[in-house]
Amino acid sequence: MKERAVRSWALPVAAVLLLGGCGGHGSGGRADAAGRSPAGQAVDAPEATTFATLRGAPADPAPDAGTGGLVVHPDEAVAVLDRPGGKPVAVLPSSELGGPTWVPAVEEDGEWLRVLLPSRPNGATGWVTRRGGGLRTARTPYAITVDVAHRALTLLKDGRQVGRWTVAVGDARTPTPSGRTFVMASLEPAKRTPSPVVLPLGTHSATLDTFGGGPGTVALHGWPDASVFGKPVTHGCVRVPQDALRRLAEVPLGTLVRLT
Amino acid sequence: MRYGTVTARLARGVVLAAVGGLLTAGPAVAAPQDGKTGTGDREGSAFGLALSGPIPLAPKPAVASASGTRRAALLDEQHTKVLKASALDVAASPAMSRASVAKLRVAAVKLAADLVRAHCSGGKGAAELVDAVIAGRRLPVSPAPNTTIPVDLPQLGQVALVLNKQERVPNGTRVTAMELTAPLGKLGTEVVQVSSATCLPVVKAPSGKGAGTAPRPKPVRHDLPVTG
Repeated sequence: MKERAVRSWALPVAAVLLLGGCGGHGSGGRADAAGRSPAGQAVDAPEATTFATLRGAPADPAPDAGTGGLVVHPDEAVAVLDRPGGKPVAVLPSSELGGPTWVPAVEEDGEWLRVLLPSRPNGATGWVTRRGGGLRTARTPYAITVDVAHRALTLLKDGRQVGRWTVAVGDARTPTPSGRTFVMASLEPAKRTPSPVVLPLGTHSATLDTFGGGPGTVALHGWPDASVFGKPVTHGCVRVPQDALRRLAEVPLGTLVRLT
Repeated sequence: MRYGTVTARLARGVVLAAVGGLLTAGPAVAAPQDGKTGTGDREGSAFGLALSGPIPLAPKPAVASASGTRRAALLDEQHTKVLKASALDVAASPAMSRASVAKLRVAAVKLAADLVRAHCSGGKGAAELVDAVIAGRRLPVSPAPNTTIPVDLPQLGQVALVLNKQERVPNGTRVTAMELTAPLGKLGTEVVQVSSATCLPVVKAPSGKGAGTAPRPKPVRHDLPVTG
């Protein structure tokens, strides 16, 4: 067993944060799924969900860069290819965790868009096509940056700072991963404590294969004890103050989150 | 000086550099120095000096990065019987890399330069040479890409010098400010590379211009254990 897997098993049960407990897997991401290729043919490939690990998905070409804010929603499951016109590496479902799928477009090549995916490995990307009209596109004016070293979260709108908060980040053994990702979902857990809203991101802990029965998904969420803010005390998530959570919950799904 | 003597000196000096570690004698500062030469698909990379051929020497100092900037430097003078240099300074990020070597001297081929610098940004490379001379011939400050300068040295034979060498590598560009190819008699051909930087082209994200505003999300009742 790999070290990080051992470490995840070694965590005390009390430390497991069940933000709402272990629910179902929503879109059923562990199973292979059938999407449609650009030619309309059925494609068998893993669903690109937070539960999946995608083999052959190309890495983010510019993990430090921003984007123009374009986000993409598939009306129905679509094939994700390793390059424009290439081989399928995943199927992007139309919903993630019970809500609509929105992913950021980070590169454009004609009618093809490279999008960030919510699966492992972190930084996984793939290409989807606008051909056939099955993709809805929109623009989010927002971007979020988390300066992990300085434990600061900044909310930007049209490039201008509209909020900045001191937050809690991962500790030395379970650091908050770096790179760019996105707001994958907006969840209301059954239990409103410690956070009434949880915003899972499209990235995962690099040191925990699993956590509390989940796949190690990193999220933005609130925390009732303000003394944690400014400290590296989490298992990778970013805990934010209440007013920050209220603002962040208004940000469209697919909004870019840069973890630096 | 006879041909054999020059060849022997060059080879002996390179051996000393490789085996004795003379090229790595100086302390590395501002590490990390991971020894990677960096040809990963999504990495930028850079190195100061490298030898290949009969007597290879791994790039020193060398950095590669797929995210953020990594830097390494060897400030002390690095010297062998045939090659001297100081202030080797390299930095790499995916989209921008640079390398510089100061006070370069390769006595056997009468090559000297106060500064040899390579810079690569957004998939485009450039080289800069300050007070560079080979066999009495002054070299251009900003050489055009792949400027080849043949030099005929009576004792050594035909030496090829390529300035601002530019190559396409997977997903990017590599610029090597100076590449010297010298025959080592029966040993074969030795290649000395000075100041090399590799970078990726700028990835242009779609602007989103003309697209409607993305909807405000509606939280859904759902539970997912996350890394608290």
